[in-house]
Amino acid sequence: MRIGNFVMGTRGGDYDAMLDQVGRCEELGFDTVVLAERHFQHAPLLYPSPLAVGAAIAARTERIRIGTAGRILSLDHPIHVAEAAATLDVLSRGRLDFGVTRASLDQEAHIAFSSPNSESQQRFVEALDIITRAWTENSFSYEGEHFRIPEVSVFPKPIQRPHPPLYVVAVSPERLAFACREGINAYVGAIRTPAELAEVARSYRDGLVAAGHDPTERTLSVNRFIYVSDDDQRGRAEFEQPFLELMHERAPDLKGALVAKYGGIEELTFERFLADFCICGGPETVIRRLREVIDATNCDYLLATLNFVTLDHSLCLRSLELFGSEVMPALVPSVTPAR
Amino acid sequence: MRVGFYATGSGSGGYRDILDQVVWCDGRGFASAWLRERHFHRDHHGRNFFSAPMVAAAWIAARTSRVRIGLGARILPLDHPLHIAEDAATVDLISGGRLDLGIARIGENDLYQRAFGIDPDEARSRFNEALEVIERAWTGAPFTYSGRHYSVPRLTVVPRPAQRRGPPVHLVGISEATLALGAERGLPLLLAGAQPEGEVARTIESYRGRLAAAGHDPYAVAMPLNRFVYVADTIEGARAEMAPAIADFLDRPASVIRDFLGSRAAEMGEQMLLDEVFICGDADHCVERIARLGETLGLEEVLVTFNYFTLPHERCVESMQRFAEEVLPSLSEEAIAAA
Repeated sequence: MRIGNFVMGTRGGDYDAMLDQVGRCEELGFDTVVLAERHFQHAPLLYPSPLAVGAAIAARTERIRIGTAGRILSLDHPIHVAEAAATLDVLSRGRLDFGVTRASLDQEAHIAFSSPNSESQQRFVEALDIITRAWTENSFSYEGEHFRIPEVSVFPKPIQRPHPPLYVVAVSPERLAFACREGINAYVGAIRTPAELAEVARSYRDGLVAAGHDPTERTLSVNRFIYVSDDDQRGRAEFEQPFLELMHERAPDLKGALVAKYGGIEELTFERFLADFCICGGPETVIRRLREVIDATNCDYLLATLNFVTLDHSLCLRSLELFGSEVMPALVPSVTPAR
Repeated sequence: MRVGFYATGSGSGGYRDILDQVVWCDGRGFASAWLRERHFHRDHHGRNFFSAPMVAAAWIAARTSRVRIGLGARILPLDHPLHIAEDAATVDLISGGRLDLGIARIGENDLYQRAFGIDPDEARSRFNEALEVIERAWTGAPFTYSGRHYSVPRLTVVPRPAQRRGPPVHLVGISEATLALGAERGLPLLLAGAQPEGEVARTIESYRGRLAAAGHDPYAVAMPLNRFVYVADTIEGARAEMAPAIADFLDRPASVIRDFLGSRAAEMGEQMLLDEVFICGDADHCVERIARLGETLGLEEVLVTFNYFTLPHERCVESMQRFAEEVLPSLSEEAIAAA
């Protein structure tokens, strides 16, 4: 079992605070820190430049792996992406987990970058092909629908051979099918009920087998919103308001996805979130509920979303400490509590 | 006089060696460290060039605390200006407001444009539009843009840079049109290391004339001058050490040499390079040449390129140490303060 911190921002936290938080994650024994990519209004403390932020993390840490979930491949030229990701792999001495996604959750980014969402599927496929060839081939040329590249040698090459591990953000059945077909590791997002997570995990493994890939050599990562406090009562008192504010007001695209899938906003009460989408409470409760998710999905990589823009930075840090010292050792026997 | 470090390459070192040199400069009296952007270069297995300089700059930002960090330069037409604005703002925040953004219209050769799918005839207008988009993006206010190449719907770009008006934009280029655009806006101009002193003087005179004509105080606009410097025990020893660099320089394509030397391309030879481009000698010689250049050209900032790609890493570090101890204190009050 590997455990990562899916890093968004916190209320009152700046880039320095985030870098301190990641440094603490390394001390607590987290395996990875993972960054999303969002642009414009949707990115108050998410990262429009996750590979640059990843480089800053690489400079301040020694061991923790640095992931993206994911670079939006349809918004950028794949040569830039290949160069930037390989640079991060070199600077971090081989600690990059390269996660990609097809499109932005909002339409605005596609309009601004003049890359229509309707083309994003084809761009995504071409871009991923170009990126892996840029990393692994001495020189190559490419003739696609969206990208035509004369013979070039792209530098630097990543340190990890043949290239950094790939992950796909599997937000849709199509993306999951793509991950199965290509034999790529998958991230499953936080907006899924435990029953759905179990179903996705099953189809991922079946899909891998059907495509001739060994599921034991692939990773399925499950993401949960998690808040740990001293006990359940205090956890709920501290977490309910910031979490509802995030879902109802600060993340219009997540809210849109929730409403589309699970019904009207009036049904999205905290009870509903607690039952299906987030885990909060004292360490014992968090451990029990995480074990349920892990058992149901048989996943070997848990991404914990322990921070977000509506949560006070001090509360986030306390939750992180409790997660690292109380919850992680129970889930991962090899982790000894850090001092 | 302010003295900066222009990090170019290394005959033996990799990215981390070059960036360790930058970290070494921090707090040793160097005012700035600059990185260049180059793509597809096979020499030295691509170790010498930053194809994603913004990622490297983010790493430097997190590892240093005093030195300003310059991009010399990002090639604007190759990337979407919103990406450039976001990346630069991110690095500016991580560095606590220490970023300088150099901008260029073209790269080393036309393969750049072909690989990134840019029509060379559009490079000029893309460059002009990109600069406008970047400057508007950094205001932190909602804006729209409608140009020939870039159309931005009403949006706000985040994060907002730490420096109130955004990272200072520096111009890199020598063409008439580029100088005209820079002078109109009163932009600082980076003077190329490959230009002989006589050409540098002409570029400065021309730019100052344009600045004055555009209503700017020509002496208030910074023009950091890049020079290749090598410090050894003796002039003879230093020249012997730089001989491969000079040979490499003389081997460059005639078109590149003409760009920098203009009508004087025919005069190009070892002696001219020793007299007007490379500064190599003992500490006294280097102090005298650099101080005289500053005085005769009326410049207050010199950027030192310690490695023109050919020096082994260890040799370069020796020269840098000697420079910091024996040359810098004679040139820079900041260096004296740091010591």
